Amino acid sequence: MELAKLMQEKINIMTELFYQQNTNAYQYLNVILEGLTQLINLLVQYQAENNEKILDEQELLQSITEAFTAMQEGDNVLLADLFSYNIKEQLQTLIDCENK
Amino acid sequence: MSLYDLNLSAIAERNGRWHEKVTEVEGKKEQLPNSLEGVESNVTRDGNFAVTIIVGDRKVRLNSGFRPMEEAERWAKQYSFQNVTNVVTMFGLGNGYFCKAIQKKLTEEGHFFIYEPSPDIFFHALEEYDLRDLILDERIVIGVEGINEFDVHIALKEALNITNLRNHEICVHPQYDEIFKDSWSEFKEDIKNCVSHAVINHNTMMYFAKVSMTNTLQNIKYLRQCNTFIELREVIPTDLPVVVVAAGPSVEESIEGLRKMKGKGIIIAVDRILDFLLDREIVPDFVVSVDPNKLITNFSKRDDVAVPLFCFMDSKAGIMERHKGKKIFCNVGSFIGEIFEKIKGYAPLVPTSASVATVAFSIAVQIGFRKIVLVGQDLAYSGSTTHAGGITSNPYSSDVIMVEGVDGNKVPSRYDWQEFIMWYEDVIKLYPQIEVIDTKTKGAKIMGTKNMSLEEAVSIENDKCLDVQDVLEQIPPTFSDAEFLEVVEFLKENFKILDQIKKKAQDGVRVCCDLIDMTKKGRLQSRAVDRSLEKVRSINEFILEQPIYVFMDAAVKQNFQEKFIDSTSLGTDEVSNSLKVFDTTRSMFHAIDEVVSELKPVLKEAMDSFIEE
Repeated sequence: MELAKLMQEKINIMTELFYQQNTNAYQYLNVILEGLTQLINLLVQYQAENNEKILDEQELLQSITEAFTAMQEGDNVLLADLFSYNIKEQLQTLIDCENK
Repeated sequence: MSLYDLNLSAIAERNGRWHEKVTEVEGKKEQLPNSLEGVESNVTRDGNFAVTIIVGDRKVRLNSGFRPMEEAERWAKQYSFQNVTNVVTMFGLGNGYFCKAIQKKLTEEGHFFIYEPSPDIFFHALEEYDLRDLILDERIVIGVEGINEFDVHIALKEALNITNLRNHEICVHPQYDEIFKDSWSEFKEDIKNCVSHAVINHNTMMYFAKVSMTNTLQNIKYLRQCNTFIELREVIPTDLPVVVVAAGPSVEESIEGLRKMKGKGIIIAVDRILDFLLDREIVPDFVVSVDPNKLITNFSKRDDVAVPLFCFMDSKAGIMERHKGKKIFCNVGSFIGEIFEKIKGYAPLVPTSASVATVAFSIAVQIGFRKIVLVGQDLAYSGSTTHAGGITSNPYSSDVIMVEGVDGNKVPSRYDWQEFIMWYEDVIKLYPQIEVIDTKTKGAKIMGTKNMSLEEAVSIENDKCLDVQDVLEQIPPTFSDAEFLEVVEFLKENFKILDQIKKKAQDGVRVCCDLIDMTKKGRLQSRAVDRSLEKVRSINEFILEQPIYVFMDAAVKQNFQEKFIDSTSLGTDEVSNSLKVFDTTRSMFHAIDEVVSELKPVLKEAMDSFIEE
């Protein structure tokens, strides 16, 4: 789950940049979206192979959709908040599962 | 007590006038600018509050709906205020969260100016949030558009100077620049003007530093028979209108009016227009000359001018010599001010500004006139002409800028004139009880003035006929014989102090060299360095507390200005910061030594001629 940890770090940086109205935040958003897509694919594959539900990927997708809606409405602070609290928390669940 | 009452009490404690203004507009909020359809606060996920405003049909949240305090702290991380003299301007108070995050990072000597464009948000914040920490902090000035925005303008103008321009940070509350676009543009323009003002002030000070010092000393001899504008307050009837005649091309329109009004009001002419008036047989009641570097020919080609002269202690010595009449000091500077304070209990200190006409205006304000009429204050080109008599003079810049004219059209002007326009507008706002009339029919508009002809402005006055010369003859000189001897003693003492300053400065250079040497050898954390620092502190303390040093200060800074400005911005490395500070201090002591050497013979000569007088 190194990827999940890396995503958390990137989300931290992106959040700060969005809070600071810094447009470099979008570059991080691109990287994070790529990482999350990869992560969801891995998760779906792992859960199918092991017949074990460690995280509801639909819930994660739902959070990402909400964040996109905020972005479309021009509310970058909400976008950052959703990543920083909801999505990061879901990533933490993944990390905790692996640690167990 | 509600939060609103607590905040309002804090405003009253901090600034009575601000409190008055807030309570004045409480009942008429609908007339205030940038009104919103709604302002509300909602609980956030972490139990704090976020402000949401309704602009048209759009809802905009101004804080994070999750953790607004944390958002503010992380937002503020982009700013670092490691220099001593930081100035921060912030567009938007909001609910105070972002401002408080900046406040935490501010140094003790820092300044923080907050401009809130929306009175609706301001009143909401007073009701829902505890803003007392911000309101009562002496480093912070809050201005609200439509209520007290002028407070921020004035405070920022005063705070910005050449030493802190590099450390000036402009912050914007999230969303504010988008929502309040017009106010943001105006605020940015105002900041730009304040910065230009600081640069002009610095350049003027540097340009005049040494000549101002030598003029002051050469003019000491006039203290024997002088008066100050303060004594005039008692004898000049301030219910008469005062006409300030500047040197713009439009003076020509008012020649007849000036001739007719003699005795019905007071005429104060700037030096540049004196000969033009005298050639037309108009003798003003006063002439003003304050420029330390003025060409004598721009004062008068005559050698018998006896029109009473409003002057500064550092007015051009050659002009003071050529002028034969009564000298009335309006600003004696800090050094001579010291002896005025000691003997008379006051010092004449009409504020300096960048033009002789604005100084003339200030003198009229300080004397207490209630009606000031401007003549020839064009502040715009008339064709290519800048001054009355068809003269073109453009010493500062060839860049033409367009400003609003008295007739509503744009007129060509210059940056320095634009600075004077803003100066007038500020002063007129500060003295609402004074009626200011501008008589020109073309030229730059000065907001706050009434536009009418000189005849209209003065004709309604009574039939008084005043002879200013008669009035002045009744006033005894400022200093009596006994007081004059005290002035002599003061100068003698300061002459001796110059020697002590010189010796201390030379010691200071040696100690700084040692400090640089020890730092380079990696001994920054040593008792020897501590001892040397203590020596530097004590030398500094001695020099800075001498009144004559304050007088030399600008000339000293002129000698090491590059290093002086550079020293206000420090990095993060302790060793290179220390080397920079020690090197700057060494240069400062060296500059003091040099300036004392230049000053001593001039002071000696001035004292001799003063005592002889």
